[in-house]
Amino acid sequence: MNGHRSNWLLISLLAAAVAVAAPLKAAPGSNDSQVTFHFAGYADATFTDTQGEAGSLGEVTFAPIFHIQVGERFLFEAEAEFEADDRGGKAAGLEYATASWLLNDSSALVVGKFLSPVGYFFQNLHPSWINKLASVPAGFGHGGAAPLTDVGVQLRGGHAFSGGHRLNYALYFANGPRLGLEGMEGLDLDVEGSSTNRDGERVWGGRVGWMPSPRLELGASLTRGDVVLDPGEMGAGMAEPARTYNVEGLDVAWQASLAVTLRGEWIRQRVGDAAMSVAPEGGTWRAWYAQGAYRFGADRWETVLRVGDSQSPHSESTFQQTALGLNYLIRPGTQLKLSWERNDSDSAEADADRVLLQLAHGF
Amino acid sequence: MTTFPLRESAAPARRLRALTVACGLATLSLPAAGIAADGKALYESTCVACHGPTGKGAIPGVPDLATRLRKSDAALVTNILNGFQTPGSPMAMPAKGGNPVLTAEDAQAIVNYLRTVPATPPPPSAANGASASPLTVAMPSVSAGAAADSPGGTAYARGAQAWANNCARCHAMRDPKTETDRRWQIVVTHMRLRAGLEGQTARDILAFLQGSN
Repeated sequence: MNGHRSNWLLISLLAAAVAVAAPLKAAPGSNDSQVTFHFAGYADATFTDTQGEAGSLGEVTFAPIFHIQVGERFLFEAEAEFEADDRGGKAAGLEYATASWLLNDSSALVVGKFLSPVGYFFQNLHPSWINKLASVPAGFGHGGAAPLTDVGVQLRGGHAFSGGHRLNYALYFANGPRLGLEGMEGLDLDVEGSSTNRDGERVWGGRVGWMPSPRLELGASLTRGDVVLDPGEMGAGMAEPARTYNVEGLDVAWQASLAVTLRGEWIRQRVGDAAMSVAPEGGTWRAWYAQGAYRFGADRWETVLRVGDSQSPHSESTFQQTALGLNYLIRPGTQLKLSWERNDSDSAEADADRVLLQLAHGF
Repeated sequence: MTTFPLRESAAPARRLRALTVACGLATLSLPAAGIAADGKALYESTCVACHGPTGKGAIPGVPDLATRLRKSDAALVTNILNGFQTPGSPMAMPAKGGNPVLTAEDAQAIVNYLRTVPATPPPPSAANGASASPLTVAMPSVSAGAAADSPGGTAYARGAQAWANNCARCHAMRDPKTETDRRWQIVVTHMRLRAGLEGQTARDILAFLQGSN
């Protein structure tokens, strides 16, 4: 997308947001200048027994979330994430940091680094105290097929229609992913948002969810834009052309009964070919999963079955997975999860089956 | 029309029906006509979002009331007024069911209603000869009761239902007592943004949570 069109799109989005801004219906006793701080988040510790390796109680996550609300309209929030994996790696980062302005009952403007509104799993289900298995679905985690975070601006909200139908939406305009090289010609797509936008290209898109009843949600996502390869030392002195970046996604969630929850999601990212590039061939990242969960034993116990598939230009991210889980809800927000994964891949690393035992707590 | 899924098993419904018949016989001498009407309205405005129209539970973690009605009236009224967590259940019922205007007389009326009402209504479309899902029954109007007609009661009742409909879709339900009024406001604002809730729904959920903590 060229810069001129990008700027007009951004201006249009902001203008539409301001145009629809209306006084909020304040809650009784509310104070528009009151500032309140709130601390939330989640943490988990995971024992992982990988086929062919020694078991390790080495994976720990601590993800504090800070909220500051000013009056009724403004919310500032940020999530940090501290991780230690079972191979000795450590990471600390800013998962998201946003400023949100509630414009009216149906829309809010969000700016900053946000969880990608494309797709459903990562923006809503990835915290370990919410995710029903000890691992994320194939292709829906870091390095997978689904966009994770981005930096830009969003217009999001929801609307209730007569007859009980509801719609929720998120439209965004952002820096988009970064494209690099893995090896000599393999494309490496970094789908974690960055405040730098070295390629000068941006993306737009969003997700719309339709709820014909409170127990069923159908969602569709789409992103369009361009991306430019950063070849690093490989392309020193060469001008890389822009290439298309497209994302499509579908998701469904159905609470079939009080005890049975079903959901599934499919997502695909495509980077186009560029004949004049040092890596002319484009790439496709695609993943899907279907998951069913059944509660029993006074709703304290839950069994989960998930099947999924991840396709990527890289063999270590191309695998099929069947995961079975048994969870015990210690208290709302705290659960012990035992998961078994059967993985099938041409890559020895991705092919290894795993048993995971995770204690997850949301606070 | 709003519908609520219910467990398929008919056994709890039969137990509830037998229990209510037995208890109804025991309370025939009570001048219950007026109280029963109020109790029904109060149940449908205050309790139904979590307990469901038949008392079998409408959200995960809420136990079947059929087994709870074996307790005495006094114990049930105390539990309603003070809140209660069934041993083994991950969910706690908030004091007064989260309805701040509920009185001891209201709680007694609800108990009386639960002891006298026929248990399971027929599926909504069964009367029309159509095949209805065994997992859904009609959701009573939340504006039926006197308490629900008050502005606070209406928002509370809508909020309880919205809480049950929206929050349990993704995660376990947290006890409303875990946060203060102001902190619930922040949590609800956060979730309004995350889940794409419209403003009125968010305000209703907040009214329920702040009335229940």
